[in-house]
Amino acid sequence: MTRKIVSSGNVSGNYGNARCDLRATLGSLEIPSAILTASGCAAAGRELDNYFDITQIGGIVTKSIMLAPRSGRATPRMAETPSGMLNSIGLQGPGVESFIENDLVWLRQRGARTIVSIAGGTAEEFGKVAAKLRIAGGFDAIEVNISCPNVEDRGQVFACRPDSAAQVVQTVRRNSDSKIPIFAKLSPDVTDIVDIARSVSQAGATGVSVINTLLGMVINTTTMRPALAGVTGGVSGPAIRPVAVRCVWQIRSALPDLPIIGMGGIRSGHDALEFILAGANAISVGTSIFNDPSAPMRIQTELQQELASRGFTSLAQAVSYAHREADIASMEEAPSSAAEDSETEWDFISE
Amino acid sequence: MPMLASVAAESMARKVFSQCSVEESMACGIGVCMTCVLPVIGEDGITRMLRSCVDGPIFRGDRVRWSEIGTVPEGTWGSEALRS
Ligand SMILES: Cc1cc2nc3c(=O)[nH]c(=O)nc-3n(C[C@H](O)[C@H](O)[C@H](O)COP(=O)(O)O)c2cc1C
Ligand code: FES
Repeated sequence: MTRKIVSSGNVSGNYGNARCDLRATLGSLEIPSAILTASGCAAAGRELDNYFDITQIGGIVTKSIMLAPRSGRATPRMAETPSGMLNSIGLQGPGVESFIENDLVWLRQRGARTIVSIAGGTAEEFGKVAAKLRIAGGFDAIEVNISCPNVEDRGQVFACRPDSAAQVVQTVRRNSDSKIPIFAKLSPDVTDIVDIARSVSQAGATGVSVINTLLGMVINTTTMRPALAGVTGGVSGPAIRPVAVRCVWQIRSALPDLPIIGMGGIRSGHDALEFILAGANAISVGTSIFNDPSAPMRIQTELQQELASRGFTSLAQAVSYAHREADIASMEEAPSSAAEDSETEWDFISE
Repeated sequence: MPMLASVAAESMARKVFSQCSVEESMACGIGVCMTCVLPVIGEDGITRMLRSCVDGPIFRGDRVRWSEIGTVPEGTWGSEALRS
């Protein structure tokens, strides 16, 4: 973090075949690239493998899986919002046994690094899912989704309170192989996200994944009723990026050594770089996949160029770089990065 | 959708085989997001919330639970978990 920047941002046109080491270390989890998919936006990797080689990114974070099969919520499950969308899927999935037999086996055979996202209605259910996974093996880490907004009872959102968040993480930790890294997925809909991060870290989480969607709502002005069958849903996409960057920044400031997977509205290498500079050790790509299925791969290439053009030879050097004292170089950089910001217009999903 | 439902109903009444290409609102269109589902009865008689983008878009007219689109019908695979 004390490294001096080699060149100011002026070389940004000169990307060429820029090479930069994208390896990431998140506690005991070491991945060759810091680019992951976001849970619920990549299913279990199979569909995306038709668009890019899923073994070439850091890994697949699978759709949150529960103990039993689950139909999910009624439709409509999606509404478009400015620079983003609202979803209320309700954790549709086949249940952990079918997931292990079909999806996990396929991912292993395919050679993709896999972070299994798990969910539950009670801490006990989380524990049972973790126990089944422990027996099955064949994955690299667990992401504990304690922050899904699409459950009937807001009281089920464990990530809203430090004690309930910690209880779930502790239960998963106890039911998992001690060598398996565990990431707690946090909600931005809290008064102090640092409190929650500290609490799950003390409960045994290897690191945190931030952020899940923000709770939101759209009214259909034709029917004059809520647009989603589930009434409320989770907001994702570029609209939430500043909230996500802020969450990463706050957690990194308070907990300098906690591994962080950052996500929320990342649709380019430039966006990904923001998260890295704010303190994320790795990033996940979610909603962007819906309008560009190869987004994770493209973002990986772009991030490499963004880092190289700023004189970084490895991603690790850039982690938390925005936390250093302001220096002359960074002040000189300001105009060129502002210009880059305005060049990208996000063309959102078309029906 | 109402037109497809009518075609399917009319075909069933006349014992004619029908296939319908459904159009649910979609976010990804490639099977990863689960926004485009509708209740469809499988070979085994069990109703599942299937993705219109990749499990469809063409379904047998007599297999889609047309009047219950926009709901999770009673007995749908995995719906107990949601109601409990
Ligand atoms: C359709 C959809 C389904 C999602 N499902 C899950 C899920 O099952 N588990 C989870 O932890 N997060 C889920 N998320 C949240 C994403 O993983 C991610 O945290 C959030 O969307 C912000 O990133 P993004 O703006 O890049 O999408 C879902 C998001 C979307 C849009
Ligand atoms: S539109 Fe995403 S699964 Fe069908």
